[in-house]
Amino acid sequence: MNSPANNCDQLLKQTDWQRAERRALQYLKRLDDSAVAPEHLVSVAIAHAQNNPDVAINGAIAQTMLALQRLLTDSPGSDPKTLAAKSSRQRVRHWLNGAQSLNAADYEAARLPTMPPMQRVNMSPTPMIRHGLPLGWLSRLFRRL
Amino acid sequence: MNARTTFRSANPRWRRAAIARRILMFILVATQTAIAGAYMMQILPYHGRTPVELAVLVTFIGLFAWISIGFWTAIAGFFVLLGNARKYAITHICKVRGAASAPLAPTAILMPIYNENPHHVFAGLKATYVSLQDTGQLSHFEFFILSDTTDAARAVDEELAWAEFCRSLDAFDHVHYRRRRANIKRKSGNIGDFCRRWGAYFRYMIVLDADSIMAGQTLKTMVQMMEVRPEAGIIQTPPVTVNRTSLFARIQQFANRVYGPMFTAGVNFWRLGECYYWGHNAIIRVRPFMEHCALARLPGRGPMAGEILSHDFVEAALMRRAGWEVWVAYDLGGSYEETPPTLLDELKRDRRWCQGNLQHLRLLGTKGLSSSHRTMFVNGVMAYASAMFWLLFLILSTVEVAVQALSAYKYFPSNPSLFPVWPEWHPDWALMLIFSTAVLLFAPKILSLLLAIIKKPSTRYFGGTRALTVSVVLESIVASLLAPIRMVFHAQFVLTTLMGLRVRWGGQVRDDAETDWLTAVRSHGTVTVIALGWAALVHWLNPAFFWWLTPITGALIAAIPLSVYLSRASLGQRARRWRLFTIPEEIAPPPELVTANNALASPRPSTDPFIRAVVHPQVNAIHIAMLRRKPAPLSTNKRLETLKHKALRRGPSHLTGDEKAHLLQDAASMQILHLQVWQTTDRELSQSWGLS
Repeated sequence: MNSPANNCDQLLKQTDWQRAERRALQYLKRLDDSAVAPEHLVSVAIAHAQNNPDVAINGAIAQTMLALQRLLTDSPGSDPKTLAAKSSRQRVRHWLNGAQSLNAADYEAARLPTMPPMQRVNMSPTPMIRHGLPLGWLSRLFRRL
Repeated sequence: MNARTTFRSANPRWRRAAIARRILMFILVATQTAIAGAYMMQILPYHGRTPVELAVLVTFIGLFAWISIGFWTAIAGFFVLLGNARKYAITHICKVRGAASAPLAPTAILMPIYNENPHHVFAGLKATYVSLQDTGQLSHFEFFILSDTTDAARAVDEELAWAEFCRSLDAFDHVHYRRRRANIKRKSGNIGDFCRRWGAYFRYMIVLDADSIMAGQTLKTMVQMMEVRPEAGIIQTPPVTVNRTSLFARIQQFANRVYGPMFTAGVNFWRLGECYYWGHNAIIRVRPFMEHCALARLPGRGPMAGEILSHDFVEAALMRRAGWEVWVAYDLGGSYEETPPTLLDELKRDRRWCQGNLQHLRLLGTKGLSSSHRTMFVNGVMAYASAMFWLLFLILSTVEVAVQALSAYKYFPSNPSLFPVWPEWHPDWALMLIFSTAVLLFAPKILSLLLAIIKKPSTRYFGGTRALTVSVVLESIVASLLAPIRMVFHAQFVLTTLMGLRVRWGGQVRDDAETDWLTAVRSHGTVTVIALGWAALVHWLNPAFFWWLTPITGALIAAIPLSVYLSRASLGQRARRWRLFTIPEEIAPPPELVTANNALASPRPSTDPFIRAVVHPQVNAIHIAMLRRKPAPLSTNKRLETLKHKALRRGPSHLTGDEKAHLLQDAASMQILHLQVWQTTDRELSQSWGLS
């Protein structure tokens, strides 16, 4: 039975999902990844959110964004150990696809290395002014001034 | 690396030549100064027999010797360039040894940066990288951006610029980025940190500045020169100043481009393999640098102690002390840098350099340094201390005028004597002395002009002979007006440094930013008032001396408008349309500068870096990917929770800079903020983060 209250509720829900779609598209637009087809991915994310909602999270936008994050990060190769073996180029590609949702334990393995491995060599300074000019009096004089 | 490597070639031929040339230089300067001093003594009313006159005479002799050194350096450079005398040019020496066909060796290109504009830094780096790529020798080089940036928001821009740079040029294996958390020992510590961690991979390192651009061919030649000259520890290139638009900077660029080559050739003439290292645009042999050039803190307290600020001169001296040669490749092109855009920016930089150079006084007696490097330290000190001597000379001259005006003439000024000292005034001698001083100051400019005209093809690149000549005249006028203003500031820097006021290490201004009237009044107002008072006092004491002093007091009184108008980019552009102060790099820009300028013209992100790091998926990912994730202490966690709550309830505009920096340093917070901002349903909050 379609009461006015039910109609209103449905309309609101529909508006929420429309907003969620816009937000998800906005996210993918900013991600600017040519490998991703935005409309398709967003429709899949909305379907996931509507069919398997996360009980801990409320709202169409939150559910859709969560589903979208999962879709982006549950791609092959997001395992931190696999990732650690990859080259910098591949890792950056991975990070740009939203790998930030890795949990803390996996983080260090997957962290983006921006420098080559270290090879520590000592570099010890030689004291220089053992034979320097005694200029302490000059500094003291000017400090008093 | 157990045994320290030293290089002691048995008194090479260039060293014997250098010693002979330095003796000649000493004789020329000493003779010229003695003659000028004798003239000055005769001009003074009591011939230097009163304490004030004696002080005037001593300061005059010091100043005259100082400008005489510059004059003879220019003369030497003029004849070297005129006669193409390249026997002791390092480029020629290496060419004879077959540098052109020498294989390359692993080389690191270092770019230390400190709170710079990343857009600007990476534009220059792109130009260097692409130019090197074009030589086909990229595989021998690796680039390291060594950030000491303390501004967390700016660091986000650096990270993104690095990632974007690597992505666009497919350069992840060649371009590395590292940010230090603690800026120990500043720039020298930054380079030292690189050496300790990654130095062992490389035979050479080429140190750049944040505004440096270098041609790929030049980088290749530098490595080849080092390969065929195993005695060389450092080879410095002479950077040409480019890319500025303000009138002040264009005049500086012009002066550097017209007079610079002659002075650099002259410096090489006297110093040869015991020459300068200016801290950037130079190649360094890594192993001896690591073994001999690590800098210790100067013991004690105060501004003359602590970290060595002007590290480059000291590193050159230490490299030479270990037996390695330090050359300036004065005729090697393809090396560029930028000059400060305004007078005030230049003075800010000078404040820092002044303290660094004064510290070198303490190193003068260091055992084992070459005489060339000891004089280099003195030279560096005199670059600023000469201003104090000049100011002292003017003050003493005013005192002398006051004494003459207010007291009766003393016929027996010093000891009781049978013979009185009669008052004498030789205006012809005074004019001759002024004329000879002017010759010393302006002859190098005229000689540079002559060189440019004689070497015919180059005048076209300076806008033609007429425009070049007019530009030299105008530059000389502007330099004369700026000299007293610089004198006052430099004297103040020397005094405040000696009085124990420390220098704050500020990032350099690399963008064209004009000086507004209020800033100019704040910076030059006091000097203007003092100059007005000084001029009035002298006019009252002795109207004739007033006119002698006008070039000084007049320039100081005009400091405010000078500072403002010279900073104007519109005037710089107008001068360019009139072909004034034109440099060859403006008429026919080399490909590296074209690449850099194109990269600079590309749009730069305008939103707050913190908002971008939270909201933008790529920026957020890159930023988190580059952070260390360490378990934070409980108190920090509590603060982070409060800040996250504030950011998500009230929006980013309610966070202070410190609060943003705190959040930016925590990977987990940045991750949570990113997810929650994108999930928010609150319209107002979404808009505050830039979402619809």
